[in-house]
Formats: sequence, C-alpha cells, structure tokens
Amino acid sequence: MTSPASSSEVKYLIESSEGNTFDVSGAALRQSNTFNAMFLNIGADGPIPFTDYNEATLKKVFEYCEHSVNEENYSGPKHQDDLSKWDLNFFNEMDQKMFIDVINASNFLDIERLTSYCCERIARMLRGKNTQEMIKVITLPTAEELEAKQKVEEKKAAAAKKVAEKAAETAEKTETLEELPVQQLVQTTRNKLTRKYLSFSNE
Amino acid sequence: MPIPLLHFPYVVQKKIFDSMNYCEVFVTSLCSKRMKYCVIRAKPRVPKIWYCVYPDETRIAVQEEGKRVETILEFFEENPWLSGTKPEKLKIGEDFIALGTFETALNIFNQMCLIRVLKNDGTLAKSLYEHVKSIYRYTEPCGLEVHINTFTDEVPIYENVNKILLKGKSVKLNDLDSFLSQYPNLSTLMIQPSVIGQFSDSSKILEISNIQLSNGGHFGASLLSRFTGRNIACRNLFITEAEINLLIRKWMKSEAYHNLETIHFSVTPDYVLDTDLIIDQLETEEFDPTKRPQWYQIDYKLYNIPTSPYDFSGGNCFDVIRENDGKRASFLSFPTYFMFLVWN
Repeated sequence: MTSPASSSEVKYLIESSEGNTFDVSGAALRQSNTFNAMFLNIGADGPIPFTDYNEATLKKVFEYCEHSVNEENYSGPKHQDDLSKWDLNFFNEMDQKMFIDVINASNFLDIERLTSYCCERIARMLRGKNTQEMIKVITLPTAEELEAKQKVEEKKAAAAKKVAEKAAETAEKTETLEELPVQQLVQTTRNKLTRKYLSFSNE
Repeated sequence: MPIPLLHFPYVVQKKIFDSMNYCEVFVTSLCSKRMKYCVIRAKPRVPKIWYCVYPDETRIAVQEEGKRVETILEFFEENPWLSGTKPEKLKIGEDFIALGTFETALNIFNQMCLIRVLKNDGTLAKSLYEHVKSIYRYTEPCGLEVHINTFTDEVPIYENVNKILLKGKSVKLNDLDSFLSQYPNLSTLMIQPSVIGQFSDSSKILEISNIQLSNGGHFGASLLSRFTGRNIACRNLFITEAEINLLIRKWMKSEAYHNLETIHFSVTPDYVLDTDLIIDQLETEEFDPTKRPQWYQIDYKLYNIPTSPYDFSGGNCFDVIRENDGKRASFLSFPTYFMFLVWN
C-alpha cells in the first residue's frame, strides 16, 4: 500500500488527528516538500501520520494538490486575479476555521503554491484598509480593549498586592510568636485565658 | 472574516507581508506593538526610499530600479476632525502620538496612504524616519527631498543618503554648506532654488560628483568653473562664450575637469550663444563614425529625468582631443544650450 514513490499511480495512506486514514496519490503528495524530505526516498511502512491536522483539513489540502498535479511547475506567487475558476471556488467554499487550518497544514507540509495563494488572499483582505479596519480583520485588540484589559490587570495586581501584604503581616506575627521564649509564650497564653475567664465571670 | 495573523508561524507571516504593497505594510505596522514587531521580524525589502520633508507635509516614496519615484505615504497638516471620518490615535516610533485620519487612495501606478494630522512638524519627520527605517530592509542608499524652509531644526539627519533634491525659492550658500556637511556620502545633488553667496575652496558643494541646478544663474557659472565632479547640468545659466571656450581649453590641456563625464546647460532665455565664439581658436574635429558612436544616452538615473539619446553629429557637433592622453570629447553647441561629453 505504501511504498517509495516511483510512479504517480502509487497511493499513500495518510493518518489524521482523529486516527482515520485515507488515500492520497504519490503525485499529489510529492507537492509537499515535508513529505519529500521525510518519506520520498525511504518509503513508509504504514500510514503516514499527519496527526496535528484533522481529516477534513488534510483532505482539503490534498484535494488542492491532486488538482494541481498537472499544472506547470510553480514559479513564484501568482496574482489572485490570475486564479482559475476552480481555484476561486476552492477558496470560496471554505469557512474561516477551515481556511486557517488549511494555511497551517499547508505551511507544515510545505506546499509552496497553496501557502502562497492563501497568504496572498489574506493580503488582499487587508488591502485599502486603515488601522482600525485592519485591527478588526486580524483580530487584534483595539485601543479601548487594551485599556480595559490594562485596568483589569491593574486591579488584579492591586488585589494581589493587598493579599501579599496581608500574608506578610500574618507571617510577621507568627514570626514574633515563634521568636518569643517558651516561658514567655506560656505566660502570654495564660494571661489571655485569665482575661477570658474574667470576662466570663463578669457576665 | 477575522484572521489571527499574529498566531501564524513566522514563515506564513512573512509571506503575507511579502504579498502586501509598501503602503499596506506600513499601515499594518501601526496596528499594535506586537504587529509592528511582526513586521520588523519579517523586514520586507524596499527599493530606493525617498524621504520628502516639507513645511506642511511629509512623504515617503519608493523608486524601483530605473523607474519613476512613487509616493506611498503622505502626512499632511489638516484638522483631522474636519475630514468626516473619526480620527484615530496614531503612534509612530517612540515620540510621535497624535490624532489623525487614514485614507487609502490609488494613484496611477500604486496604492498610497494619506494621513491627516493636526501638526506636521520635526517630531513627525523624525519618528516617521525611525519607524520606516525599522520596518523595511533597505536595498539601496536613500534619497532625500527637502524644502529649504525645514532646514534648521526640523529635518532629522538621515543615514546612508546618496541623493538629495532641494526645493524652495532661494538658499544661502552658507546654509547649504552646513546642511550638506551632514551628508558625507552624497553623490548626487539637485537644487531647485537659486543659490546666493560666494564660493570658498572649502565649500561642500565642490565635493559632490553629480550636480543639477534648476536656476543656475551666476552661481552656476561660478560652480562650473570650479567643478571637480563627473556630471553637471544647469538651467538658466549666466555664462559667456569666452567662459565656455576657456572651459574646453582647460579640459584639453588637463588643467581642470579631470573626472568630467558630461556638462549640460541651457542659458537664460534672453541670451543667444554664438558657436563661432565658443570654438574660437580651438582645434576641433568633425564627427567620424570610426572613432566614436553617434548617439549618447545620458544616465537619467542620476537626476530621475528621462531623456532621449543625443545625436552627436552634424554641423553643431565638434570633437576635441585631450593633449596628454588623447582622450576624445564632443560638444554640441546650439543658440540656447550646450553639451559637453567625454567619451569613455
């Protein structure tokens, strides 16, 4: 089932994070530089574990690889305007989570063409935007959010400081008790008990 | 669709920044401190950068090899509250914090970012310079376009500058000299204002290889007589035929202009050059195609002025030979302009 790739007919088994396995053609898999570096020459005895990524993501990535098997050799990033209808559909039908997973998987598998297209797509999302609009797209906290966060942190720090001061005070008291000689300590306790007894008897 | 750009691996971040144009990279770097450090880490490459400093605006422009200078970023002085969009807090570098509005616009060739700020002063120029220097990787020395009114305290000292374009109406030679002393690696200087003052042997302008004067006047003629650089171009020069004749003689006898490559000037509109007086008693030769090419293209990269190739043949073209090494030069003499070229 899995053997060193010598022809495009060879199929490899890929294992996803769920433990599921599925077939990918050797030709498609060879677009991944990570695969080429790890398995191309030595082959794989069992399923190739890409267990950091789920099945849906890996299938999507290899769908792209299968499609671009017959395309000419990759020569630098292609402008998004030059994308084919198939490519556009491929990107458009992905939701945000899938898109991000595909970028990460494609980067890990080192599939240059797909990674570059994804990056170019992100760059286009940011085109013509000012800082506030960019902050929304790239999910950065806004200045107000940062301020609020800082205030919460300051409050937390102040509370922690108070707790620490209290703890220090208690420790100091304990220390002073510990430092008293035993006889004196006995005397102090006795005095306290006497006072308590007197207060009871007065009642 | 929100994208967690900061959570992507470095390689992906770098590819995203590489897919952005220069203006977008700059705006991204202003989003937050962490974002700025991401850009700094990716350090996108830029071609030649031009810093343009004017009393009421500051611009950043880029110039690809052999192409026009394109503005990518412009800060201008205007009340941001009047723009119709809500001003944002801008923090550039360590020192500049102000309210401003962003607008991106497409000019003919590229995208540019227009930023309105209430006050455009030296702090902005300085902070902008520090910011730009930190986020882009220079591949070439920088250019500086500066208005003379911002000379004294407003302009920060830019590093690694090899070209300066000076704008304004008139400038004193002393002020010019003290400004130029900050830029020891300067190779090209373009001066639009007329220059007032007397030369001294220690004048910094005499150390520059390539000079262009838009208002040459008497100063230009005086500079031309002492020029030790390679290329000089002047407009509206007050020069007589006798002075031009002397200049050619000096070159022929190796008394001056040892490094000279080209001289190109036009005279004031009310003056007409007499070629006969220029070639008076000079030993000249006619164009001979076996000895040199007919056409010559001036290296416009020096001054960013595209020109057509010049035809060095015909009745207005004369060749002269330098006595000590036999080097050939040609000059074109017309009623309003003159050009001298030393063949390599």
